[in-house]
Amino acid sequence: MRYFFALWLAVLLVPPALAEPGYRAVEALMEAPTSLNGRFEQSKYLAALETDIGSSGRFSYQQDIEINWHTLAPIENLLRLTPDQITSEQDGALLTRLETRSNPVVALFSEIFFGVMTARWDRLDEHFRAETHVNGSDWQAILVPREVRVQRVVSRVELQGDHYLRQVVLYEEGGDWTRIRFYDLQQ
Amino acid sequence: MISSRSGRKVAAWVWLLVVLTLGFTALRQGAVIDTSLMALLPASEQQPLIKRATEQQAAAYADKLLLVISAEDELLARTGVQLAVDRLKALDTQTRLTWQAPDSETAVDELYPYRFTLLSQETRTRLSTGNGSLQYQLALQRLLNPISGFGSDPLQDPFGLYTDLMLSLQSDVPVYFDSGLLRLKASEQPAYLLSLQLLEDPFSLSVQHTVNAVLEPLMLELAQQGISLHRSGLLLHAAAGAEQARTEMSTIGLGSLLGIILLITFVFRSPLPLVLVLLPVATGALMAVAATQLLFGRVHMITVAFGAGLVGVAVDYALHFLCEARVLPLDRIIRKLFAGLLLGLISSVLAYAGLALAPFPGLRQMAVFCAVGLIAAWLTVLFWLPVLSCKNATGQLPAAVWLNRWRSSCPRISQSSWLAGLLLVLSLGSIVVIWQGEARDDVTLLQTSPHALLQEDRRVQSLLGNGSSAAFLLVTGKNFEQVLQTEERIQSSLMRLRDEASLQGFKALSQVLPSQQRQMQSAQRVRALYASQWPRMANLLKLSPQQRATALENMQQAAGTVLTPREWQQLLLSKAWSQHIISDGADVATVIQLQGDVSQSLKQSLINLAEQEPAVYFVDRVSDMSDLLARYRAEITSWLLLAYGCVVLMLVLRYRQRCWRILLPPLLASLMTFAGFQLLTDGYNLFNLIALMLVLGVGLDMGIFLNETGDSDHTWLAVSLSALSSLLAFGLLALSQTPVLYHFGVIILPGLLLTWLLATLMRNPSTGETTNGRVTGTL
Repeated sequence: MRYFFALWLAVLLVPPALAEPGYRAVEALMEAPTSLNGRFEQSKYLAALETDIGSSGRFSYQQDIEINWHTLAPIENLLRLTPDQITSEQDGALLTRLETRSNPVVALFSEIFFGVMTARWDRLDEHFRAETHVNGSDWQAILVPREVRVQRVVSRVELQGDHYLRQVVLYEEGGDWTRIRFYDLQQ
Repeated sequence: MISSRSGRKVAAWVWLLVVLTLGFTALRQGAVIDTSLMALLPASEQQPLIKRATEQQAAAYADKLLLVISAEDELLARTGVQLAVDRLKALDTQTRLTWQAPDSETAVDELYPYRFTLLSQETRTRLSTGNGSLQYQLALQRLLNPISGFGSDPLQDPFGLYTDLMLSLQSDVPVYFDSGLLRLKASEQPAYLLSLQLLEDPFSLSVQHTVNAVLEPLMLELAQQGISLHRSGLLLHAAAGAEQARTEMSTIGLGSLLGIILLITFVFRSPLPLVLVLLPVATGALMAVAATQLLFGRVHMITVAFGAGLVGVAVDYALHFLCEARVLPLDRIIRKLFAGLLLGLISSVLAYAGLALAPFPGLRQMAVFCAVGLIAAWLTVLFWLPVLSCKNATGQLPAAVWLNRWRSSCPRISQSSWLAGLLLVLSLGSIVVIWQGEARDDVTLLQTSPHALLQEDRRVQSLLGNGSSAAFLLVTGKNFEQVLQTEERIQSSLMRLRDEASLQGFKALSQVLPSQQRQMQSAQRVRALYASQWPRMANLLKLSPQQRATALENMQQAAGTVLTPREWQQLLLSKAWSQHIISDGADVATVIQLQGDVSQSLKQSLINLAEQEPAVYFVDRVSDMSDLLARYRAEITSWLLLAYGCVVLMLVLRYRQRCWRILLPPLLASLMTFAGFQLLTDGYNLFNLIALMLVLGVGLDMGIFLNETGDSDHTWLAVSLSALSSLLAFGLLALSQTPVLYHFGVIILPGLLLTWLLATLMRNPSTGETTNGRVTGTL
């Protein structure tokens, strides 16, 4: 009996991050829908101005195929990501198109975005070391880049959620950060 | 008799003195062997800057060895890189290896101060339409993006112009940093680049050996793990060439040398004649090198290779002497042979020396080389052989008797109408074939590398975004500003070609270092952008008046910061562009590299483009080489015809109606060989024609001697020996893998054989009768 208690204590005391690749426990908690849509609210802090800018809109994704990031306020803008390219449209007119194939930074940007927004932990693991904390059905993860080139794009990522991802905070090297909250999620 | 003998001795000594003096003078100057094919181009056509640019491009290729390691998945490829790095440590003293991303990425932000003057092409276009509202929208979108990518500082660069610049610069680079390694963007499979800078000469055999001793086992080791290694670099081709030359030297070279030694020793049954045969050729070649060196200051490899072959005709002179020496006393040989020797010399020298009239330095060198070589060999036979061969007549050679018996059994053309008819038909047929024949002046003729190695090299170069054609545009001017402005002027044409999908891409210095003029224009556009869009942006960002003022101040400062060429050269970034800058004291030039393959139509567009801009040159080394070969071929063709004309004239003067016996064997043999060659291949080239000149030279000598000496047995032996030794020396080159040598040998082999056979068929009716008292020609 005492033996079993010691074992239980040991399991309890070992932080999950050390036991397995940290994200496995979180992955187990989460649903991984092939498509999802909902509303987002974003707040971006600009270190140089010591101010933050709010925006909001709708998003939808199909795993591994496409993410639509449709900002509706304060301006209308549609950011569309596919594994091959990132396009930006305003009022239906194409603003820019960036090919992931010809530009490694764009490719990395797209990979991180896909990884975070669609909760692809195996992909994120390639670029980040994850530290996760699970509390019941809620979880929290802190991602730290493995490489300098990733660090230049995003220096740290904080994720929170339950069976869905609920909040993302992205930190950038210059001190800027972006907090995104998701609402009304529907598969 | 004594006086003439002492006279001969004096002549021999005088000739020795001349040989030694000339040899030593040339030696003291130091022999310079030139291998650059560009040296063969007519001097006037090569603009010094073009020459320098081509040399610089070639040098960049020469001292680098590039390795690409690729595998199914990233991890495996990275393991391969680690293994390669480990193995390549053995080459630390000969090479410097680069395989990692630099520790610091300071180079990236070097351009930040110039963000408002070095605008990317896309930004410039955006700023020039709709008061920059597109740029404003783009900046807002970036601001609202979850990740901006390059950091944003609304007070320094609210419109993200630096982000645009970075994105456009990174799109142009074939390599990016992945896990600290250099990863190639263009590869389907994960592929990493390793670059070895050679610290020693890539042509050095020992360097080649050391490098390959590491590379070859490494390739095997990697292949066993399913990792592939692709290589590119001059060293590999030089090593392949050296290896091929070594193999062929030890098979073909040794074979022909052994053949000649056996032949001469077998016929003369003593080793001395061998020395006597080779002595004039060796002396001739030596004098030829010395004279060429003294006259031109350098000797080209190709001159030596082919010149030595053509001087090889001189083997005749010695053979005639030796053969006659068996049946005639020494003092009568020269008298008997003199006329034939002189005529043979004049016809050969005529045939070769006329090349000097051609406007090509390569042909001129070859003409001098051949003329001097032949004359020197001739003088050697005349002055030294009588002194050196002390033996008196020792009677007929068994080989001469045997050969004569065979000859007697052959039909004679003048007595056999069907044979004459057959030859006539064959000749006419050959003329028809030749008339329709086409030349193929392919630069691959000059390539010695195996096809697989060339493919591998091309693959690596295309991953690096380099074209396979080695073509580029050279932009010249008085100073950097002028050159960069010209570059910018033609950039729009190049971009149009790129959009039409005929040009894959191009790399020009002005893409990273615009002219001062353009930088100021860009700054002006940025000021206009601020004037029209900044208030909107500032309101959206809820900036204080203080912040607005700071931002405008920052803008004015950055818009006034122009990147000068001098400052540019201090930047780390400029190192990657050093190959693009060609400076030649007073003048400046830049190279615009073309990516991908250059098709024929694209080439024409580029040539047209260059014609419109006097300061721009389209340089295409590969097609320059092909053109060069074509022009040399045309020159040789006309000279070959002219040589035949002169020789006919000379022969008619001396032999009247008998001259056909001398002229027809080499002429018909050449026609048939050439026609046969054209039927079997898809075109002839320069080297086939040089071979035909040798056939002409040997064939004429053969005919002249036979006529001069009344077709005696020993003359017949001598001409047969000379034809056979030339066959062994040059005909065996038909077995070579080296295209140039193959094309030479493949004509010589049948050409000489046919000449000899035809000479037999067209011999004088008096053959043998007067000399041996036997009746021949029963047919």
